[in-house]
Amino acid sequence: MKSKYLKDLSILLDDYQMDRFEKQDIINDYSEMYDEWIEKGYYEDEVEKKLGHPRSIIRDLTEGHKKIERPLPGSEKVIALSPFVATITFLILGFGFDLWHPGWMIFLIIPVTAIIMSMGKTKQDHLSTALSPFGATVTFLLLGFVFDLWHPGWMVFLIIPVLGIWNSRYSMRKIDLLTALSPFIAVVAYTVLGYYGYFAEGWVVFLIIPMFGIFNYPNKKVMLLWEFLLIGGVTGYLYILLYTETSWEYALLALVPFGLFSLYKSDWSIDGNMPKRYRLVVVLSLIAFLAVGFIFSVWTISWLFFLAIPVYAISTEVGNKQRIVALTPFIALTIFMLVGYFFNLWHLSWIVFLIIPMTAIYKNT
Amino acid sequence: MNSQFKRGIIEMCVLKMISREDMYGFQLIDTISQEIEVNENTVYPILRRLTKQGLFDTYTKSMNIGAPRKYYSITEEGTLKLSEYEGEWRKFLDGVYRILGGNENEK
Repeated sequence: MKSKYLKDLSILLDDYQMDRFEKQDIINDYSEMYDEWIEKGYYEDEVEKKLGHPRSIIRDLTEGHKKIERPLPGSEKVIALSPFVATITFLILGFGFDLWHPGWMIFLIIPVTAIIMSMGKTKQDHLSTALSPFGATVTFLLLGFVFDLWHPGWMVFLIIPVLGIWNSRYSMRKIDLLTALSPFIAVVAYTVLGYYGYFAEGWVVFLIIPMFGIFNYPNKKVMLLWEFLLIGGVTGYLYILLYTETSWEYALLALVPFGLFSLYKSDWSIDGNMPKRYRLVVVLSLIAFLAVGFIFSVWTISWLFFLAIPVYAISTEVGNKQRIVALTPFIALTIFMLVGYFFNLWHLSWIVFLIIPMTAIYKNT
Repeated sequence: MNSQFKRGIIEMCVLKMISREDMYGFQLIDTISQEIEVNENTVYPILRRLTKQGLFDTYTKSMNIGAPRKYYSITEEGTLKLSEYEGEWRKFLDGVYRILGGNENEK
């Protein structure tokens, strides 16, 4: 266990511009610390929990050191060749199999190649965040064109903010990660419930957001009471609504104790130590998503507000050089969705994705 | 508390502790953490940085059981830096106390 911990740390340190003596110094320090905790009677897994996962501590350890860029073999050639490969494949699909549509989607390999080649150089954690718009777009279009499932097919786009948060997991505590992901779990659950006609009752799934948040409360007894009031309130609300003849206004009374207790404890923020700005971005995007969705009934595109989350994560966590390359998929996806949705130009709007390889090539040269 | 601000204060505490007696990393963390909430991942980078800046010297001491320990001792440059930090810190605290005291008097 100790050797694996130190090996993992050493592999991560190899990605930074740091002389080998300094690297060895860090490894020796952690080796010493590990031994000291063992001597104090801790088990290996307890020691590793105390020291922190190598991925979560690497930022502190490498402060002021740049990441090493390791160009992927032949990356420039692969980026340059991808448009030709895409065009030839598109023509074969079109002329050979009459698959002009959805064969045009093959052009998405051009931006995908550019992102992999550009971000792969520094093994960015956010590589999958930057690639997710493509996976989601292809899935969304196939669901829409083939099965006419534009709604709730748009939900696949939620994978983008979820990945944005997931790839930042090493800078968060587990409970903060769950709290940050809870709005998306709620949105998916609410849409599925709504699909089956449970819009009126289904909104209670949004209460999982405070439910996870309350776990952060420092006083365990208060935390348990608070959770009890919340779960009891939801159970009571659903019971009154579904099994009695009473109207929903009366059913809401079941949540009053939880509401009052929350007001009483409102001096404390439910999302604990999650960075304040992350909290704000998640909450604002959720509000905007619901507000625009309900007011204009445009759920198919109102999820675009959630892109603010990965955009924020990339803006703060990815280095200057890769930042613009990582951000262009989100800009492109927003333009693609707006043009496709409002002007029904899906077959043309994909061209906007070409700004990604263009940006990557421009940055690399 | 702002993490940058806290790190600055911990840096001064590390200098102070090592100026009192030579210590190894774990011993230093153990001592400081009795007064302030700190962990290894904050203190070790500070120790390495201050050593790199020439404020600490290091030497190893072999133990009866286990691997030898790396001890840190303060250099002359480190002592000068510490007194400079202490002076700035006292001046800063005096200002803060004057402001806080002033507010209280107004009440």
